[in-house]
Amino acid sequence: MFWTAILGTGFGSNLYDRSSIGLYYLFIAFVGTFASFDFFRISNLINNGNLGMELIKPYNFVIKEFAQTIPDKILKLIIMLLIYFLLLSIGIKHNISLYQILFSFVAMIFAAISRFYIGLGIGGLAFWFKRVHGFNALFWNIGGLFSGELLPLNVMPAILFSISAYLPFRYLAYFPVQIMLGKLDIGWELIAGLGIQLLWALLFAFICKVIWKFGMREFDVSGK
Amino acid sequence: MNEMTHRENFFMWGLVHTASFVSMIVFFKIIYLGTTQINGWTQYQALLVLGVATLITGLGSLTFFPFMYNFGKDVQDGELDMKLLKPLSVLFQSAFCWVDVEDIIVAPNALILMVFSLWKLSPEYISFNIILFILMLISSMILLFSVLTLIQSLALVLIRVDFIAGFFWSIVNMTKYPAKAIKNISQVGLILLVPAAIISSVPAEVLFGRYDWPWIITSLVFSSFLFWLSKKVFYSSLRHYSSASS
Repeated sequence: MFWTAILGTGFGSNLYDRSSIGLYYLFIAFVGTFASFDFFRISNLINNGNLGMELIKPYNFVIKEFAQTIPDKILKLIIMLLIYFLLLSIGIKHNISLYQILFSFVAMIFAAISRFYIGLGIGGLAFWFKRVHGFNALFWNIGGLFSGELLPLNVMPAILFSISAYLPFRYLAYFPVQIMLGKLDIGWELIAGLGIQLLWALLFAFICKVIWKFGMREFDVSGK
Repeated sequence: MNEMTHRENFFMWGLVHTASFVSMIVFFKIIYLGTTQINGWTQYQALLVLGVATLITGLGSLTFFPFMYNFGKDVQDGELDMKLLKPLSVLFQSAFCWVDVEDIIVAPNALILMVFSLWKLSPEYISFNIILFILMLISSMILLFSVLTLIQSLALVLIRVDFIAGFFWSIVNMTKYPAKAIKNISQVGLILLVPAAIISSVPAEVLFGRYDWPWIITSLVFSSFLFWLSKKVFYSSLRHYSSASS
């Protein structure tokens, strides 16, 4: 709502109008909801020792944790689509090609994979710290500014926009949303963006692996 | 106080709140790079609203915000029975049960921003403004307390009210923006904006010396009425409570 007042001053009005800024924040919420991962479960498993039970079971713990999120993500996706079609039915205009829909889905999946490994890594800090909520909140608070959640990155000063290109946050929310808004045509920028998303996902997977490798040395469970 | 035993997490929350606060300041700074005012609200007036809203959040965390988290659980597991037996208002006992000490950094951060914004705005009659501001601040706290009491009254009937917690935090988050600067919106939007405007914009206005008397009087009357109403609703909902331990 505050953006209606901001756009009224002319700020950002060359890039967004009331309708598109509304869609922007709606899609930001969509991506955030779809890609979110509950680090809390992981830190709880470590703190209460139940991780020990998980590790002796005959399946890969990481794959199981990711697979567990899939039904929830499908449900969220259906709810998002219902909200989206409801908005279209009341006259909100949104032009997007089939290819852009497909690529935005791919970008959302890459964002979900990155956020899964971030959550798993932050949850893994529970090997050393009793409470890890602060680490998670700090990460996402810094990220809020550079992910486009607080304000669209393309209305930010050029220096901050440039900095955001070197940080992962942009690819966790802003980039998929730009595809959804139809602002990125099929071309080099889109393909390169997806590539960078994948590289960040791989880097987070690697950091997570390191945290867990060293963390497991700290972990012990006792009982009969 | 439990948080103090996890010292690293306690300090981490100090960093978290500061980072969150700084990112909001950066948000306003970026917006005001492109404009000098938003519907009559200048940069430092908007920052003062942010400061006031953050101060209210900080004071709320140190007093009654934890009411949001524990009351439903008390109703579910029968802890409320113990409170009912004590010779003290059950509403007071439930609302002021513990202090969210990890949020202790929020109020000093807010005060620094408020002092800085006021210094930039250099209002006249600052002593009078501060006295009136304290009155409006108390009114805002009462309003938030009343909204929270109304929400928690539902816990006595519905048992679980976690889903409504989001509504309370939406109001709290909206107070960070100068709600009175938002114009030409739908009726539904307007209904949501009025509490946000009363909670932070009106006290901030008073502090920098813009006395919008109809809004000031409305704020005082509205918060008094809501406080009276919330107490009535809470105690009448309490009649629906049946002991979980019996």
